[in-house]
Amino acid sequence: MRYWIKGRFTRGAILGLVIGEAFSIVFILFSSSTYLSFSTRVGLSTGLSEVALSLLLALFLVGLIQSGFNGSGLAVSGSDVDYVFTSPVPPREVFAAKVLMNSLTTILFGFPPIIVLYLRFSAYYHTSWSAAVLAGFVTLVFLVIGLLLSADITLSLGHGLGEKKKLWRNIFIVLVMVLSLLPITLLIPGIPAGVAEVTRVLPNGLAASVSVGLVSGSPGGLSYLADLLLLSAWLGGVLVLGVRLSRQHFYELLEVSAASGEKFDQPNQASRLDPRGKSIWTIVRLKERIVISRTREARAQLISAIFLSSFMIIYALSGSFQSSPTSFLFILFIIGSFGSGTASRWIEKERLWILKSSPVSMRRYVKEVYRARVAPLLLYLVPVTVAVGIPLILGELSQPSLLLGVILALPGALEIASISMAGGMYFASKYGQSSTDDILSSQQQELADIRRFLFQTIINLVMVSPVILLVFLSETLATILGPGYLPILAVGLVSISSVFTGVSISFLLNKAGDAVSRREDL
Amino acid sequence: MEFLQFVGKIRGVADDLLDREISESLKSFGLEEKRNSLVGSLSKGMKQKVALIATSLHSPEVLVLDEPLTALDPKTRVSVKDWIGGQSKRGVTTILSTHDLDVAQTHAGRIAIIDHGKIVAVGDIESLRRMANTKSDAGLEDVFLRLTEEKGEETARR
Repeated sequence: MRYWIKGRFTRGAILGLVIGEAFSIVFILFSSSTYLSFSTRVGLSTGLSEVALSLLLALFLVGLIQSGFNGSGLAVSGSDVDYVFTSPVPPREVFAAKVLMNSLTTILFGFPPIIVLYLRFSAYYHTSWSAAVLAGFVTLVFLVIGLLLSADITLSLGHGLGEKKKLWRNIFIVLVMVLSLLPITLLIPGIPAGVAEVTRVLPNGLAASVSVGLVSGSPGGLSYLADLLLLSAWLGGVLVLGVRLSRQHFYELLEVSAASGEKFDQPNQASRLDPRGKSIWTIVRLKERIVISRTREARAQLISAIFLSSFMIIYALSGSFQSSPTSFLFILFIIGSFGSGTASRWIEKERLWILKSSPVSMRRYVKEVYRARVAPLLLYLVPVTVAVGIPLILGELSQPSLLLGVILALPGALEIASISMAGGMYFASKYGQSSTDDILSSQQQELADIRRFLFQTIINLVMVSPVILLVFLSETLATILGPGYLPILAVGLVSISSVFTGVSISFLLNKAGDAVSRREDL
Repeated sequence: MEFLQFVGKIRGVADDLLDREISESLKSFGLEEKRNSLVGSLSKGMKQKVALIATSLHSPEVLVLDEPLTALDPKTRVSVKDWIGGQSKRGVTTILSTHDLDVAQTHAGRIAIIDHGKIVAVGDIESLRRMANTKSDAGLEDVFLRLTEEKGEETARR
């Protein structure tokens, strides 16, 4: 661990940490308004709501789970295989060290804003600061559970599993997805009480129960102890699962994380790339689709599509969408950022010389890759958006000001997802790893990845903020101009939003092409 | 096959020529049986051959090869060396960096000897022998050692 951590705390790292913390505080302040609106929905006018905190923690868990499905749950590089795994260090210790290293980053970034949040509420409830700190630690345990679960998911994606183990792996994946979405279904009015009971014993439910109880000063005693024991059981369970998986799958994990080394179940496949009569760009898109279909990218896209569409449907059914389309878009941005992994993994590293030494324009190439990788996801979301949108629009016909917000937010969701994906491609092009093999640069690369994630999230948020702002201002505009202007306003604002999205995506992808052209290490 | 089709297409090779070039190249490297194999499943030597085919599909005028023989098995080394020689005979200017001095001596028209990042001598094998003051049949290895030793001593004197 000392070796892996060495070099992280440079001046650049500390600057990154400060920027990251500042961003986290802003994020906490913004999300707390969303948090309080959920709090109001479950019957508390102010203050902390256990269900709302459980929901927020569940959203965070969804992000980590998506990272796991994208193969990022456990960073393993070629140098680990060459030097670490061939050493006498047992795989379980390597696994533990890797997770602890990721946890360290999460704790450094996550703990201060969490403590700030709990201290604020403990001041409201007049409880001691020690209660807030304890609540913070309980939440941190939940975060570590999330990191372990993400690592377990990534480990389970390795090839070389037998058919029986593949079945268990698929059951595990489905179970994780269902349990991660379950807490969010509590937003739907009339959901059966049993769902709430099940959610109560999930890690997010347990962490929320204990944290809220401590901060609000509610008497708990044995019930807190029981919750903590259950939370510890979850922690132990995901840890044991990870240790068992790591014993067998670290080498296959390298093949999950490094596309160039990925194994295929069927190494012999007739060519699907007949270039006769096709343009270069058709071939480029076809090649991307073939690569996606033969690798883990297809599964990662499917998982992203399922999460995004589930969120849209649940939010639409819950009534939150209509009352706060802006918060819906913000949450969709968070989910979209985690799901931009498919787009950001386009860099072909050592093979990029083939493209850079050819006459093709890198700007155009990046755009065609974007079309091939992102368009299927967006196309999948269009019918979901329409299916969700029509009843919403019909339901808001009597409230023109809210109707406009809903009309804007529906395509806005797709626009935000597409801008986030383009942003992911740009940042991968500018800062993405050039090689998995260099042991020294891999340390700096991990630091660069943290920096990249922060900048990517901030810049993406800046890029999508006009879309969110338009939705935010739509109610005011509709009120000022009156219902008679609603159709023109809707057409106008949707057009502005669409044009802005197109320009933003083009800008980001041009930057991505230029960045790749300039890099000498690719 | 797909990989070579993709490379040929983005390098502007005509469709009717592309299939023929790929088939002939695969045959010359003994890779016909592997035409439907995914590149990721090939051995290092085979991947190297595929990479070399990819560099030549569009009939370039200049080839730059960086250590193309590293970590190859003997059989593959022979076929790659023959291929390099064949490219030279076809008039393709080949810039080759290698630690295999036999390849350089056999196939290179001009040889640049680099020591500590600097070119210490350039010329054909005969002129290099004269610079190194070796016998007329001295191998490139002897020439290299002599020239780099002298350079080292000269640097030490300064």
